[in-house]
Amino acid sequence: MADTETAVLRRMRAARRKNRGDERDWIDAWYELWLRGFFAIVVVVVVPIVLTGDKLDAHALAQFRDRGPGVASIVVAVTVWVALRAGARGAPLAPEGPDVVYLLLAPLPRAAVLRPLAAQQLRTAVSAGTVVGVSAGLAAAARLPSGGGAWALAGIVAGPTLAAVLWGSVAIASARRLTTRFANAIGGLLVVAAAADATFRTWLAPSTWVSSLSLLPLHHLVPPIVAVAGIALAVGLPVAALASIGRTSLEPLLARGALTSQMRFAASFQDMRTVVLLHRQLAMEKSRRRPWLRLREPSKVRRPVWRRGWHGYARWPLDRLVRVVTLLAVGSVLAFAARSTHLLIVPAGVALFVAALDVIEPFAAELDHPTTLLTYGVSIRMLLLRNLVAPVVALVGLALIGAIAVVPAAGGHAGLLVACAVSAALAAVAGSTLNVTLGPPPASQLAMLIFSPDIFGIVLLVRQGLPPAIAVGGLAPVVVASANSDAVGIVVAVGIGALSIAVLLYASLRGV
Amino acid sequence: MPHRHSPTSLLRVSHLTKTYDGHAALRDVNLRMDSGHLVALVGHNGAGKSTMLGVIAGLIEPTDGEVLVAGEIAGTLPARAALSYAGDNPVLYDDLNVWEHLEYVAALHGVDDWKTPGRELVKMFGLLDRADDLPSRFSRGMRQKTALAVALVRPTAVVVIDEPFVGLDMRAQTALIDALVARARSGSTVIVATHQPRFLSYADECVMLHDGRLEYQGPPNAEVLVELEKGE
Repeated sequence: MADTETAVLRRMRAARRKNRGDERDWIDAWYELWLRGFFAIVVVVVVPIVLTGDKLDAHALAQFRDRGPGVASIVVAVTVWVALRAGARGAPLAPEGPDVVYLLLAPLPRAAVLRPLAAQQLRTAVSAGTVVGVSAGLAAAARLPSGGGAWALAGIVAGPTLAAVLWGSVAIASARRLTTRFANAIGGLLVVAAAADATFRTWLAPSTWVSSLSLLPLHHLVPPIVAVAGIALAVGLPVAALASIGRTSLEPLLARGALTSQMRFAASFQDMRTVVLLHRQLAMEKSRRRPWLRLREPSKVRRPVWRRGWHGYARWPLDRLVRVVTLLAVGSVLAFAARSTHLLIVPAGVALFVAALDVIEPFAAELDHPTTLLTYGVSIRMLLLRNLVAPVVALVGLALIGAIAVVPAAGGHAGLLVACAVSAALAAVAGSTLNVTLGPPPASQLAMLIFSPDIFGIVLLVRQGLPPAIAVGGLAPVVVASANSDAVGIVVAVGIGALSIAVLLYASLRGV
Repeated sequence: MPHRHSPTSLLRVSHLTKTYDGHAALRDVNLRMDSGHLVALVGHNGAGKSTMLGVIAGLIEPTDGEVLVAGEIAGTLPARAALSYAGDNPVLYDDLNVWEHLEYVAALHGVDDWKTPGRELVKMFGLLDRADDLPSRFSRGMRQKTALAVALVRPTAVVVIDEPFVGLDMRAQTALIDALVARARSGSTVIVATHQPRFLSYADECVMLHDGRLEYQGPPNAEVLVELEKGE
């Protein structure tokens, strides 16, 4: 870039900073910094304490050494696959709209405009990776040999490495303009290679090289050359991405900038429904023109709302289907692990809550258009309530299939598993329904927050925290049963199921 | 800049096709537009007007075919230098005032003398009183005026504007038409996508799209006007 153009960019960035400074209070800036520091400390200090547990015995440790690298490799490969798909759809860059129209359409090398943005994203990803890595390392130290220092150090290496590999995968897919089909092919190959490593106990897959860094403190497990290959990949991918960043297509960038800023705004107001809708646009998730299954055409439609729900599900894009099933699977695995580490029901419940936000689409879509709702010549209360039948049947059905599938692996406990699956599914639907009907905090509460932050801050926290807390509560039978007996767990599950139905009824009526 | 009386083709579109998920937004469009022409790009909603302007501007990549702007492939550095684009939705920095927008865009294109034309445009669009203010505090119409002033502040061979009359009051619409006519008279090719029948009486040429296909290219006539009024 010529000196004059560099000078123009620098001068205008300074003018923008100055204008922003005039608008922004310094207290806001300090508050933002404080929040970031606070969350970093919570992740590094509190999470390992919460996830603490007993040291693995010799048998469990031997199993971990045997299967751990393979499982970690498959997890990394699947994550890279998701990253490649995101890159094929235009992620990760999201420049401001005016930057696309004025800077990227100006006669300047596009790399010069996009590279600083990309480098900033990479720095943020690596920093977040370091924090999460240290936290995960300290959590691992509680159960595995070698001591906290070694595991924390492994986290400091593995966290940023994984973050750099993921960011590099997204960015290179975007810059090299991979098609979704090609991204799927590469991702699929990576997963197959990881699965082969897991099966044959080899270290050949690229995802195994990356994941191996997290296992370095286990003596004589990871070959040094494999660890070096992992670090080389973490350096090479971002460098290659930054080198070709100027080739990024402008088509998705214009929409991404606007959507990202809207999503941040909605998230800051804890407006989850808007976040869900914007995320779908950002991921270019569109309903299928041709449904997976066509419902039979009856001579007379008797249950239009029920049919509407299933028509919607039948047109779900593959991505949404995979996301919901993955969240349910992750939630189930965490819930299973919560038998020994009880607090794991929190992330498990949150995973089910997020999945349910998608599943209650027929209900939420009606609430998105309240004025249209008023034009229907039917009882709005009944209409909203009926729109919840398909989501409840869908989620409970999926949960039951999952529960029955794991009965052999769980060594029986069929009654408890079924009861837990139903209570968790009902609670997740109830929590997400309540979240949608509550919506973002009303302006009156936000105004009170300014005058009395100590009281209304807590009120807002409870208001927005209650829906996911209900979903988490749906998994309480898991903890109760592990501390008592299956019978007690089943009784608690029935009680929670009944409570969830009550919340569901309340939330649907509140939506009127 | 080419002179009006020696028309040369500043824009060539050859076999342009653009598809989205199997749906063709543009189908094998061929056309050329000469310098000094004010061109009205018309068609019903979804006809492919915005897609076509996006491809010409270099924002959207064609699935097939080629677009040449002043002899250069659309989206390349020289083509970007030769073209100015304003989309249907005004896109502005929330932390730059009107003057700073004009200065920035002009300077990015190496135009030093932006103050005189910039001031004229600001005055013409009735923005003089608010030119020190930030667009985040503007109404939709004022943002539209600012975006148009930014698009017109530098001399370019091709000017591409999408639906510029939306949100503008009658005075601003007249001012804009005057500015676009003056720009065409000075030798630029000015392409305006619009549903505004009034604009046709000022246009030298009309390009009509229908379902992504080129339906008509030539002087504005009664048939096109009827089609446009049908869509109003």
